[in-house]
Amino acid sequence: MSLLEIRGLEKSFSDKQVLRGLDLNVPEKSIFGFIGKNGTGKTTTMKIILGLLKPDSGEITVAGERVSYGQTATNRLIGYLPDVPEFYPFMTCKEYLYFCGEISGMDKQEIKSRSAELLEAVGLKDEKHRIKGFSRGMRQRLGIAQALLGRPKLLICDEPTSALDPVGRREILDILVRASQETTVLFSTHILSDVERICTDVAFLNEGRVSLCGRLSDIRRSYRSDSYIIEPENSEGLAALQKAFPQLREKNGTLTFRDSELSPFELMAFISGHKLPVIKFEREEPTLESLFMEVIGK
Amino acid sequence: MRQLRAFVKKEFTDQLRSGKLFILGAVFLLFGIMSPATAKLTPKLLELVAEQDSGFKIDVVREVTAVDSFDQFFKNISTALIVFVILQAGIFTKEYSSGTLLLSLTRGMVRRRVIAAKTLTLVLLWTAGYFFCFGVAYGYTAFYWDVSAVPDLFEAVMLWWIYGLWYISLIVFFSVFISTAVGVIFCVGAVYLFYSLLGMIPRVGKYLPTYLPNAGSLTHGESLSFTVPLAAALSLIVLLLAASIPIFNRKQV
Repeated sequence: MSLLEIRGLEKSFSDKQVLRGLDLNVPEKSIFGFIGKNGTGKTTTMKIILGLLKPDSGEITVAGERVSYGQTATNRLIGYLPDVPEFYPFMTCKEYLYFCGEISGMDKQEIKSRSAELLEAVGLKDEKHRIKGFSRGMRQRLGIAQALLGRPKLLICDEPTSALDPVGRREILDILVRASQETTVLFSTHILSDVERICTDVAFLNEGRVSLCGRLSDIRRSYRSDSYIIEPENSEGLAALQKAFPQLREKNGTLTFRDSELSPFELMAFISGHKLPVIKFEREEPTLESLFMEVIGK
Repeated sequence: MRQLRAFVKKEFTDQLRSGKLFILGAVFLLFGIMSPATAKLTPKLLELVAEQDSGFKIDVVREVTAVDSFDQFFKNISTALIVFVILQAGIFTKEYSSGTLLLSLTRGMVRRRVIAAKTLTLVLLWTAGYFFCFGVAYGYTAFYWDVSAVPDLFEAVMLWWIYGLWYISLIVFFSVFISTAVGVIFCVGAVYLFYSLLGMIPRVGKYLPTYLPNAGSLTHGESLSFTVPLAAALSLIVLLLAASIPIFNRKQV
């Protein structure tokens, strides 16, 4: 079942049309990567989901409930981390979470126990200073803690890792993976390695539409090419293979071919028959980057 | 109710930790002390000037009384009100520019309660500051002079307090459109200027909210009617606050 469904979303800012009929299904319990270049409408889409922007047309439902602009009741189901989260700088993180819990109507004891648990999880348990002096990474982690406070069904993170160093990024990704055990995670990004590391599902946004969407493993499979790579261990092996199969193309000590040109089984038989040591014999996986480039037509 | 309380608490934490509460307290205390002090010291200063044979001829015509002290109070409190407006004009706009309101709203904070909480904060601050200031002035005045002879003091004080509330409603109203504190101050100032100019037209002036500060004259025993300006101020307050809510509901943050 889809937790979040978007149908035909359109939005223009003055004369610039940002979203041109965007459709999206986010399945429950997925870690959904929302991928697109800067300025393709990722943040706009997220703000419409949160009722912060009014769409020109289209419909969004969260857990079957329709999203409305302004007073947005569906927000009680959503935890949101904006791209640059801003908190009241005069509060400590504990005070801020308490404030968040109070305005969302949580029980006092529940706020206390849940914030303690979350501050522990994001590594801010012993932080006594006011938010004023927090680094970006700390703000991002506090942002996730506040987003998860009310045990939302859907966690929306807008480019949570973009501004962070590799250590900070890794921490945030780990927290998201842990969060995905109890909630569905939708996060936008243009960092493809983050997607490859944690996402189960992806959607590529291009020119205001979703041009490719689905389970990452399915997409990989359907886009799997017919190319193979062989890396012999030594130059003798390389030479022997090239001599026996002139169709092989050589590049920096590796050989490539397509199965339309040559049967991989024939090649395997040759390798095992001649006991040639090889480091690698693999079917080429499309990288997310190559898929992305293909999708956006570059 | 809980949302409102939590938000008001947040506002006061901000006022306290940003030092605004301290500044307001100091300003109101200062003006509270200054009012009777000025009344007490002015004749002495004049005497000094007169003694120096500076060419001025000064006759101290009459004794200084409690009325003079309260006159000073009503003069000084307008400066305190200006300080209050300048200090608090950013109460909404600060949240727009920093983006802090975004997370509260996406957490389900009801927009009209944001308005209610901030208005309530301003009203509480103004009320506490104003009556603290008056309390100090009254205490000192009662120490030096006989205050029982001052007519209509209570009415005068209450009318001036309501005049301050009108400015609060102006801050709130302009804050739902304008995104900078300077802009809000400018608009509040423009409204004051507009009413002051309008007040120059004979017979119109005494019906405007800007007539309320004249309430100080009640203590001179003058019989002025404040019914119309009071009703005007109160209805404007209600109107401005009520209009702020639907506009704020549609505001993009």
